[in-house]
Amino acid sequence: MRIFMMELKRMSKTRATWISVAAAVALSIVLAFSTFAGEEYETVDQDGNIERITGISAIAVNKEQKAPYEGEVTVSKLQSDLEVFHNLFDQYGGNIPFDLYNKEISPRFQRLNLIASVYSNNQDIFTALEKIEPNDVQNFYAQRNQKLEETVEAKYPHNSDVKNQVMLLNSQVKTPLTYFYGLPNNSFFILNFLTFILLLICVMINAPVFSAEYQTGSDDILRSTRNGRAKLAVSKLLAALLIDLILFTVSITIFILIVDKTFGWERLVSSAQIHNPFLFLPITVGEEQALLVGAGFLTLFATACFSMFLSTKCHSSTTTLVIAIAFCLLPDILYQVIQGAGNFAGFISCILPSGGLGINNNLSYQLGNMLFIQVGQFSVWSPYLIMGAAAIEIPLFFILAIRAYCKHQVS
Amino acid sequence: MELTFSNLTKKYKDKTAVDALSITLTPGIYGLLGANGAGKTTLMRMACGILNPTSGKVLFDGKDTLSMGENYRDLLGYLPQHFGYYPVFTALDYLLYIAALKGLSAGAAKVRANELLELVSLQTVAKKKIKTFSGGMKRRLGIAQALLNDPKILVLDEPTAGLDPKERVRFRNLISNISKDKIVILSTHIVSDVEYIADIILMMKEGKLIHQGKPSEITASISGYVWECRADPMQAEMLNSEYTISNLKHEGNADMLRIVSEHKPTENAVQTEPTLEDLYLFYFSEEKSVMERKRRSTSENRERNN
Repeated sequence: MRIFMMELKRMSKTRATWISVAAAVALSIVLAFSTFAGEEYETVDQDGNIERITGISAIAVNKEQKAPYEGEVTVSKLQSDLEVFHNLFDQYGGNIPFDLYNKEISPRFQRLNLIASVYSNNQDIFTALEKIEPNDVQNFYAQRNQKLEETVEAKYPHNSDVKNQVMLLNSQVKTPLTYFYGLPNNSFFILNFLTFILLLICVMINAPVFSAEYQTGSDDILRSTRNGRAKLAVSKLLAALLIDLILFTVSITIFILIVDKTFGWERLVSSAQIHNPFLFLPITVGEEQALLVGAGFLTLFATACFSMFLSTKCHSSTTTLVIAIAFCLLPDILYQVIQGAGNFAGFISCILPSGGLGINNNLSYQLGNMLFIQVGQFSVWSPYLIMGAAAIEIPLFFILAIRAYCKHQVS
Repeated sequence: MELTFSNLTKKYKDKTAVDALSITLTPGIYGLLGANGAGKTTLMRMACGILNPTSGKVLFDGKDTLSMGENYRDLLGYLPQHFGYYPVFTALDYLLYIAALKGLSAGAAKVRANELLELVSLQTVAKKKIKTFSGGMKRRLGIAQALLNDPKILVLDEPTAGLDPKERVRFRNLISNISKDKIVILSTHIVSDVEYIADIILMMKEGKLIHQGKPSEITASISGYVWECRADPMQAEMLNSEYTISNLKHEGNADMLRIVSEHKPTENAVQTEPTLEDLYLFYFSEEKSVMERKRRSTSENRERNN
């Protein structure tokens, strides 16, 4: 314990650690506020000029405007929404007057979008809704299930294993869905981006843990002491992981507090399917956020342990850092190469320690992308594979790092 | 207490750094002399268990030190040639950190660290960051960390590098004082450091132990090979290019030379008592030795032809 405390003191005293922690905190605040940038509300003043409100002010207005439309997304509400749309569309076509659009369409937009997604493949929401009659929406939830099944069949033809897994999970999705204002939009993407940046910062902290000692020669003294092998390696690993944990917890907590407080805590009880209609995992927005944080934590720790294992193997911090960062980017590159196809590259992309935290392959996308990886006779959903691999890799690389450090020979 | 190197060999790809070296050390100070690349540092690293031999063993009282593990490391104090330190730590923090690794209790560590800081004259800067220390101060701190656990085996690789003459004298006295009942292995290029305090000199060349013994015994091996002579500057320059000169002193218009050579270098050269430095130069002035051998061979051929 004393060695761990001394090691923690030593690591936390370095300027690099303090700069990293400060940068992570500052970044989490900046990124949290950047999620509000996309929020806007437009009104027309007495002279007919459009006045645009953005950011936090727009959130407050939108929240108030959409409050009456919050709650369960029942079929009757969907029918009523579609009727309102048809009335306006019949009257004005695609040029619905600004104030009417603002008053009637904008607050119903999320529900109208759901209808368009379930009943049409057309990307243009107005074109899609034009062809859907209010009576058609009677079977909204059955239609959603059917379209999901068709999507699975199209992507994985004759793969009953995948279809069964998807439909079994989907059967647990609570209907009618629940809607509250403040859906993630880009906030989950930014949360993933923040986790990815934290991952890089942690790699920068962890890369020199062992290799810097080799490089400076201080390791010669350490490993010739009584406790200078396994006990020291464990202490170094735990101290670095504790710093990573603090950095991750503080940054993510700041981000979530700012975002959820501003959008409103009630958004967390919305069904995740409201913003991602064909997500077959039975979760709310709050649970989805927790899942992203949890998966981010596992991935970050797996990468941290991996980078420290690399550190025991390399003779310079720079080499460790370059290799570790290359491995951080590799899953994203592989994912882009395979474009979501389930094959060997997809498997590698998922099982690499940093799988699921890239710009294009982040878990938020993976949840909606329906990517199944064939592992032998089994089809494994990519988010499960990513989290499972990370959970295994944490103890694996932790033990391998201890072993490699103990076996290291000075050169 | 015995530390035995049994047929110890370390090979790196195409180079043999230590070549089947065998010796048993008992308490005392061992001065390890050798040129760069002679294998001194490799030998010391193997002695400390931080480098595994290719073959052979390091035994402590007959037990293999590799299998003794932490029990062996508990007996060790090691100061490597390149002493990596933690810039943000104070001298006291650093000693407490190493003390924790050496298994000292928190209370004992504090007492011992303060004692040693005083011993190496760093008590006034105990709470200053190491990055503000001079090279000599860092070296003294390195010596202090090696002594934290009152080691039975003290391995010091170039401990006086970067120390000024006053600090070197203080270091020598310090090692002499603490060496009782310890095996101290001390490698250096500075011959005078070991000449005064070493009980036994171990001389290494190309991974092998070429000489071992008390300083007076091993210098006797080159008895009759050290000469002093007076020469004019031109002749001195010529002698300097042909022989190993251990000292050159200007005296008026002439130079006084001290030459290490198996043969009398000039007519007026007179034999003198060899020192350890002469011995070192005799074995490690490679190029001069080659030239001298050539010169000797030419002169022998000439004599034969006559």
